[in-house]
Amino acid sequence: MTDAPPTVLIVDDEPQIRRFLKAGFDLESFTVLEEETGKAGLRTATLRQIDLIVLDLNLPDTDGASVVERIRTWSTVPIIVLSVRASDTDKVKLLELGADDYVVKPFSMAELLARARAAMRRHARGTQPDPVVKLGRLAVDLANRAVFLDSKRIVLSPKEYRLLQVLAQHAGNVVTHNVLLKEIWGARHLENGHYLRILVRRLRNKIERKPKQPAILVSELGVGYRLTSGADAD
Amino acid sequence: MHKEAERLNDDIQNLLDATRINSEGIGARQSWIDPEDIISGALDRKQPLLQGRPVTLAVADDLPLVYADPALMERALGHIVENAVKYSPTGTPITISAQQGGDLMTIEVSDEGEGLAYGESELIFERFYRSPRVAGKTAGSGLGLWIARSLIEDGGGRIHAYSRPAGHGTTFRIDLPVKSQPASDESADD
Repeated sequence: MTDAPPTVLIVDDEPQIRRFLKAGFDLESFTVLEEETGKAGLRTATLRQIDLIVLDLNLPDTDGASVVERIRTWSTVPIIVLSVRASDTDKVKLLELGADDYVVKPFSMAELLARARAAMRRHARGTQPDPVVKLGRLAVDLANRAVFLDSKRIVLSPKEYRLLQVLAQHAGNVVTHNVLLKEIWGARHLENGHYLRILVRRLRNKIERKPKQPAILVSELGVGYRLTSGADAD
Repeated sequence: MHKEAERLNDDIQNLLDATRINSEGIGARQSWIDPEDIISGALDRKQPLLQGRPVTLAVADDLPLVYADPALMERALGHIVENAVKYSPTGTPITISAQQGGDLMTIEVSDEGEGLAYGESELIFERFYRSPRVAGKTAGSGLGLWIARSLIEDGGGRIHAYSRPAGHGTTFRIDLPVKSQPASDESADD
């Protein structure tokens, strides 16, 4: 990592959205590049050193999924997708093609920046995860496979720990149901989504203050789960 | 300005949903889901509207999973929650309960608004219906409850509304069928 300000590439055909995003990223001292089409976005992504891409799902010349797919053939740069709310299937497809996360329009700049920072942190770490991931009252010590709640160690079953581990490695970003099923039970169990629902409920009972109003392990219905710091709960 | 834009956005989304329901059908994608996720998802979606509004949850332990389209159920419940917020005084609580009774999972949303006028309990689910008492005072597309009922009935559920004696609020009751639960993961503790 250098001290140079990070560069974000915004690919969106709506000038108002670009203006809104540019203002937000300017305030956070990003260098902002803008493109209106998928084709132009791809070109800029190959020619410039980019630290983050914010990509609209509905572009005039090509769909966001193919842009993600093309970028992922040569780059691991964090990609956050902007999507409309009625397209869960598209969101899952984008995440599984390699997008890091999404925000749903209308979104707040704070929400987008939180997702972007989480994805950039993970990218900067590369394959070496943080030894301890802290999320509010929860701490996951990935090196020692230990989990602490309010500094007290809690006991998890191996599958509960595996679920928490995968989510902690992506802390702040969504992880799809299919990725979790594959990581915990293996690729043969992708149809057994209910295993995951029940495991999530058990884990919430151990880590959430109010398991029925989860603040740490939150569901992105139809898409996956996300670990958050729970800062906006209560 | 931002709130107005969001409201307009919601109205447009309602119109798009209504058009889609009419022309293409709902196209539900069902899977096993935790009712608690539907409730917290709907509350999360309506968070901007709920600012400062006390929400009381009375959700039974060990609710069964339901076989439904998660996104559609969340949207349906979101419409009911929005309706409760809009038509009850600022600061009064909204209560959401969930429990199983036999082969039904029941979610109820209660408010402390004026309650329904005589004969309105069916009318409110009609497309574009606005109660004469609120039309012109409270913004709304008249589509939310119609969409909610369409989505719930498409998933094999039922919804109805009733008011306790005048001035004592309205309860929306959603009944979802509970199917035989899927085989559990024998190795869950491994």
